[in-house]
Amino acid sequence: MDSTITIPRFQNSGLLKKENKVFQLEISNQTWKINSLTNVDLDRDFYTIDSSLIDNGNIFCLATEDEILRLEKDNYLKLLNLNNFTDTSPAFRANLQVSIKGGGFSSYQSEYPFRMVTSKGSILSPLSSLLNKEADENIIFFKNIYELPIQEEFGAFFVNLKTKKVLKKVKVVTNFLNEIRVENEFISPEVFLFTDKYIGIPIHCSMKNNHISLEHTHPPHEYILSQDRFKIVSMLKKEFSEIIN
Amino acid sequence: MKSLIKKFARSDFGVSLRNNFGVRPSPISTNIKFKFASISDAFLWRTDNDYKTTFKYTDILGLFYKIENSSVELLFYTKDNSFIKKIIVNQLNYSNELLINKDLLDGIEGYGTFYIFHRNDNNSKDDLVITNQCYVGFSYKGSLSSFAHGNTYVRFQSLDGKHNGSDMVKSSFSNNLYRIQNSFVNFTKSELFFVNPTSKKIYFSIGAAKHTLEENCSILIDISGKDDITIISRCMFLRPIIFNYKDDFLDVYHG
Repeated sequence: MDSTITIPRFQNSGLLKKENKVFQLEISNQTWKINSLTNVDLDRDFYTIDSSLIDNGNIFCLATEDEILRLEKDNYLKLLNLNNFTDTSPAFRANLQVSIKGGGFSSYQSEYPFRMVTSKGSILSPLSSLLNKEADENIIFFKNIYELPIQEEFGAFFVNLKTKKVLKKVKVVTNFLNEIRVENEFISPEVFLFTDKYIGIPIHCSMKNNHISLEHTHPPHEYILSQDRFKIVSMLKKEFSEIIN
Repeated sequence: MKSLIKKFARSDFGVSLRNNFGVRPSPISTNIKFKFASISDAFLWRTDNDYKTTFKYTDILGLFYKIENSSVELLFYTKDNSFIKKIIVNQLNYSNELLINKDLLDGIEGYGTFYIFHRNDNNSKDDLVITNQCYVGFSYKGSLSSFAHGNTYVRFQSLDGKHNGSDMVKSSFSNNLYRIQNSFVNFTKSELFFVNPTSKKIYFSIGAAKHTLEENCSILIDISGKDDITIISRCMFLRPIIFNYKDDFLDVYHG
């Protein structure tokens, strides 16, 4: 498989910031190491990053050279919100396209909101909403980015809400794109993915006959607009937390 | 005083002033008239050119509020906003799936929109407003479905189905520019799907091509050969669903 990330240096309102460059960040010796991507393709205001630069453990950010230097102040020990260029409505889109060689391709809106970088917690994602029992293979790619340069293990669980049973437990790692294979028997309306310590974005991937589909599920609070929405979601997550414990 | 200003800024009139004078504009307003409501996107269905559509949705009332025996109502329309049919689903799982093909839509081969509204008559809460953003998958020539999630808020109904409304997406006096943040190079064909999320006729342009859409009508536009797309409209949230093709392979996402 091949991956390509396309990052615009403009907002969807048309505002262009030519000083914006793409930097690659990875953990090295318990600090954040910055790589300036001087040779990345820039074509009509789009930076294109190909598979040779993409790894499960690295991330990319859009910033000016002055902004990226701010990480030095904390001795590269913590990620910082370098700018608000990508805080737009409608949401900013950095496109990750995954292709099967000689086959299909699928895109996913791959930016990771900074407010999630500073948070711990748990995520809840239904398995059958996007995965497909008819597919040859179903995988959840679970991406976590945490502000500290650590790779700490935590748990991801497949939980049946009706029977209140844990069906599967896997270890996942912070600051990494984790790959969780999903067996067909778990793709059922009452089965959910739940994590116990850190949040992240679950990207659901199905493949069949050289075709591929990739999409993320919504965070649960997006289903509710009432004022008590965080309380309602918190109560549901508490139910899952009690099951896994 | 501060809370009064906040209240005014969030009112319909306040939002309209903010949008027209460009002060903290709000493309979508969630001010709705009643406290027990279900909000829906205008989802796309396709049965043209050997397409099948799969709709996946959550029983929000069952999952989050433990309300049993609720139902959902699905309303289907043509691209010209003519009503086709209503489907009521009474038996809900936490996650549910509906295949939309020509058979379901009485033989119609084409495209259009549909809405989902949750139904429940017994409300004991003070405030219960939900929205099902859902996931819609498109299968082309029998391929694996390519899924995209819901995009915006278009219509709302009270949970008992007695009241309804629309126009959550706002317009402004001046034009808004929306440049799609992805390149269209390297595809054999590309299409954009637009729906008018408002109850008024809207005008929009893509380069030199001008388009109009009546209330809640929808359109598929072939943009093959163009590299970079900018949409200009007074409608403040006109974000298309994108279909990119490489021969018989398909990728669908919201722009």
